Amino acid sequence: MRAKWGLLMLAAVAVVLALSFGASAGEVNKANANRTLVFIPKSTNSQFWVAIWDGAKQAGRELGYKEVLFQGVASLSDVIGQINLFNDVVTSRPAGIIVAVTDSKSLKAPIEKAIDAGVPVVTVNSGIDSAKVYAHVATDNYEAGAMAADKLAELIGKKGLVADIGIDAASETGREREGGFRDRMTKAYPQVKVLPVQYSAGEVSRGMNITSDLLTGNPEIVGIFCAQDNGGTGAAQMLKQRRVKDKVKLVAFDASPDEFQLFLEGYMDGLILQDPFMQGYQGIYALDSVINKKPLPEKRFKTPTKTITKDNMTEPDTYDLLARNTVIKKVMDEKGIIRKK
Amino acid sequence: MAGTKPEAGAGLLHTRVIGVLLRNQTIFMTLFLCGMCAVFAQISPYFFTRSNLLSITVQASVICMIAAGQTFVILSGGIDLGCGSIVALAAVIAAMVMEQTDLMLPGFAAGIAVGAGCGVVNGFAIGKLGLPPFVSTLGMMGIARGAALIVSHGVPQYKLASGSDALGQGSVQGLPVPTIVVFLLYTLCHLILTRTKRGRYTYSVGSNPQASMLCGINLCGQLVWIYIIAGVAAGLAGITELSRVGSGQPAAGADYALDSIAAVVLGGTSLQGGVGNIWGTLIGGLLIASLRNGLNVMNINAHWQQVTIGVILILAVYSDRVHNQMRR
Repeated sequence: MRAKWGLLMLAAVAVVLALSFGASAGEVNKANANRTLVFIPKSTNSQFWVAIWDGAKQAGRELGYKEVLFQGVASLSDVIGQINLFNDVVTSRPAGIIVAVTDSKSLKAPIEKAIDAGVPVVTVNSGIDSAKVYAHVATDNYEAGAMAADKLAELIGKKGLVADIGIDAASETGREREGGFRDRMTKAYPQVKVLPVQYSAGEVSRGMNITSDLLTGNPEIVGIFCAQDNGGTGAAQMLKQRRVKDKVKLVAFDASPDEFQLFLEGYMDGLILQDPFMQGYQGIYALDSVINKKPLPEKRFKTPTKTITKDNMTEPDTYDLLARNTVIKKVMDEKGIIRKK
Repeated sequence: MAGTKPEAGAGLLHTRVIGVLLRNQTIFMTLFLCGMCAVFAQISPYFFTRSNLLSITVQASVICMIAAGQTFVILSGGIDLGCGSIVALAAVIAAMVMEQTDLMLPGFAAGIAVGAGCGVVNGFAIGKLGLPPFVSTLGMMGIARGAALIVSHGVPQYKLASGSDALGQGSVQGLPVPTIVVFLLYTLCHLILTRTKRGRYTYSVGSNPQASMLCGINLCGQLVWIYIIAGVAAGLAGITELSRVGSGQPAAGADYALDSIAAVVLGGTSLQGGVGNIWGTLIGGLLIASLRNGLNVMNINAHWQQVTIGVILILAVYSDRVHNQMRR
């Protein structure tokens, strides 16, 4: 009798121990199962943000979160809109927020207030100057601008007049990219002259108009730098319409589907590709560490950038970076662009 | 007194001519436009060339199309804040139809239909339900923008039908197609406003809605008609923008409503309604586009452009007020 009870007790303890061990492995996942995360992009106007969201969703799936929502304003110039949206999202008390900030100064107070209220916030792509933010996952925009300068200078023979189409006066990303571009041009390529900046404000039509006017006013332009995808698409469209394919070299950022199309047609000569997927992916992992009280290895994560040209497009590492965007991968498959082994 | 009469008469004619010129805002703005272009031509040798001037008309085309519809609305005493969003919605829907059917015309037709549809909703809300135009079109601004983003999932639609770039990028005998379309549109609008009953009623409704009603004008029907015209104009602008840019951008046109209102007001149409003409709007649109183009061609800092455009708008509205006070 006593042995049987003893055995029963042993079995019960064993079961309880097994259950508790089993649970702790999946405990984090189960805890996440009811948690919603929100990604707030700068705007909904570019496929770039959808690419970040894809990375975020992937990480969310791996970590067992209920969902990663996507909430944004329509224009990346709408700073007030993003502030209001951010505050509204905070009111809905998600488990955590990753946000790409339109204006680093204006979003500082709302983000810090949210963190104080207990909603963890991680910034991606563009951040704020604050010690409270748990992590920042971004491209080194200054360095990326310098890479663009190197490529453009190489394409135009290290001399000539180039145009500078920026994003917006309020955009920290834009300022850093332009800063990197201009500084590099001044330091390394003194024979290249850069025109005063004009802003495309994230709109293709504005990029077109600016390019058209700059070409009219400065017929000797040999190169154009665009700090953002939509401005670059506009510039390429205008080069296509004016039929100046080989005379003017264009280097822009990212690869939206319409932009990539023009790149393949030869109206764009270089793309500075960021890794938006990785930004979303690492952003969610960083947020998860904060939510589940795990230590974070560091606060600033840099995602890689690569310069893509028609020549190196099929190289394994550049192809993989391009292919992370499912829409671009489809375009490449359609056009028969195959990865080199 | 008799001795001074001839001198007084001669002086009076001189001042009378200048008075007419200054009081007629359309003529004033045309002179201003010419003066501005002359100044730009001095600063940059590339401004006053045939290709740049044609380029200005192309860049002005989308705003001018919206502004044509906006003229009807403002003449009737209303305002249309939603036209920029309608442009985006029309462009996106037209692009998506083109992608599905791989045909140009159904896409364009869909874009115009979308504009007309939004116009019907606006006209119904303002005419039948009696909502103030400012509020109603503000609502349409949000609804159309939201619809454009939902339908496109926020992503620009770039798979267009072949041949669709003719509307925005083609040229006939050296003249760009958008320029020709704008000219035809404005001629048509002028004929409607001056030669048709409905056109005259537009002025009447803006001038005095109560008197118009007592005269037997169906206010509701007239307003619906006016806002449908505005919607169709915005739809046309949307497909032109689509054709020019090569993709349907759901977030496009955020500033277009304000630009179109500026063009209308600069051209001499009073915000209070009842006074104005369509050709003034064309001058207003060309003025804004020439200003932007000139400042770009002269490589002027982007921020100064905003300031300049704002200052000119204030000057125009101020002279509009002075003009109205002199009228009364």
